[in-house]
Amino acid sequence: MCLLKANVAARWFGFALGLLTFVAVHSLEALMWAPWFGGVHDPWFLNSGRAAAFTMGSLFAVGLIGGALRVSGLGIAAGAAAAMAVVLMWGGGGSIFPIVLVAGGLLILVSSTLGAWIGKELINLTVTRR
Amino acid sequence: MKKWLAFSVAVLVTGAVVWPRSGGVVGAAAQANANASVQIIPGGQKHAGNPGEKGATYYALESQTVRLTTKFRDGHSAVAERGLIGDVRTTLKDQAGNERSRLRLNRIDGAHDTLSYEPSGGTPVQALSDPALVKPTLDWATRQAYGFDKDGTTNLVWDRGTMRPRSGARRDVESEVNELETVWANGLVAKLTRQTYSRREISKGRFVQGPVLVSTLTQHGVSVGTAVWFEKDRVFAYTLPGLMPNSVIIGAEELKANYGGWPFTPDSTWLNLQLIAAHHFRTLMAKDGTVARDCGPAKPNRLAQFFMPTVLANEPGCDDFHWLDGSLVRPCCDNHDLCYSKNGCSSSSWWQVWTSWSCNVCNLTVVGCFFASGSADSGCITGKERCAY
Repeated sequence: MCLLKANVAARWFGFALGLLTFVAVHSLEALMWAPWFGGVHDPWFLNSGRAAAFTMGSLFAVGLIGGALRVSGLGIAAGAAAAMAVVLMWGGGGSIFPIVLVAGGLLILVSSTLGAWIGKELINLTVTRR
Repeated sequence: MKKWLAFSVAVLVTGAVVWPRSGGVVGAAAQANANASVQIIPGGQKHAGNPGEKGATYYALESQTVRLTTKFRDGHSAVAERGLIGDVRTTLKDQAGNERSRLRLNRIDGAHDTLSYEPSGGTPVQALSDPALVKPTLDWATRQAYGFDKDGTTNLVWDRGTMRPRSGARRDVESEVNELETVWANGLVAKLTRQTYSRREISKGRFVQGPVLVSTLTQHGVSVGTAVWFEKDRVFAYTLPGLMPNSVIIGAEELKANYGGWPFTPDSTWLNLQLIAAHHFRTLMAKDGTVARDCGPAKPNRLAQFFMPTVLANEPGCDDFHWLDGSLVRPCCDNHDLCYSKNGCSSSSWWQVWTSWSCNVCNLTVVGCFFASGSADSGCITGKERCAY
């Protein structure tokens, strides 16, 4: 029972972590859009290759740390994807928003879960060595 | 094994992160470029473009031209239209109304265009436009299509912003323009014809005569102004009866102090746009007392606008996915925008599937197009071209 509660808590913690990470990364991108990412289009991580890489890199890094702390990678991905959907849909959604949601969700899923998996395995590796 | 695999991936990722730092020379160059000094203009000093070239105002006005119809001396006619996504399409017909060719300019990004020329009985040509030489105006597309039709498309070279065959001579298309109709925003239509005026006095002691370009301006079908360019005397005159009490007359004398005379020779396109601009700005002055407007967002919206990407359904390229604008799927997005504008769709058509079958087709087509990596072309939507599937 206690283990179950801990798992649920870890998932929700992961969700919150992913959500906050995406919001923070998006805010930073909006703030530094012109100098860092070219600033041709509106601030949005899929509007620039560099911004997409930055977002994925950030989620990977957070996933890596989260994985090491036994936080669910899927939870992080779900949180980040939820934040992405809210930010995108707040203004009504663009003309191809379902495609954007699916593509953005896949990128988030891959970067977050890969990071979490590697973090978890690295921790396992070090624990086994000891 | 699983642990070693994870360890290997971690090493690879770390290497990928560290790798760009080894490019010190590139980094230093970028740093140097980032720190390039700002060019300061001293107070009181003018800084304007070359007065002999068309400037930002001209192109801003031109971009609002919806359709340009040109009739040439040999009976050919060309209709150039601007799409909602900034693409330019020109159709050239002969005197009998038979289609001779089509020319399309497709925007790749903010500056670059691809040109696609399809003669009715010849080999199509595709070329990359040069943003340093060409602005994708309706006028440019018309003259280029006419030039291709007359001179052919073999061994093309750039010649003063126009493509022509290396072996051919430069063509003066302006002299071959007989009539020009510019359909602009707000119901404004300027129609230009070539005429010959007898000797007359347009102001005290100033006589003019000879060949002229006459542009008449209508708004929603009602005549609102006239402009005349006297080619021989190099005098430009225009009148807007409802907006100004007298005619404006500009000759080389009036321009001598600032430019030493006419810095360029007005052409048919310029004349129509000049008359439209005069009407547009004088209307704004009469209405608002200014031609400027407050474009800043209302204060409560500023935070939201900072955080949320602005949604413009007709943005050229892939809305909210501009990372793919230079990729194979770019035409999918442009065709989808075109399909939306033709059928009056909005993003809500994705979930309100019962509202319009046409919008559903637009949406299904763009999904199919993404899966097919851009192999589905606009013909599938417009029915004008061959379908890829």
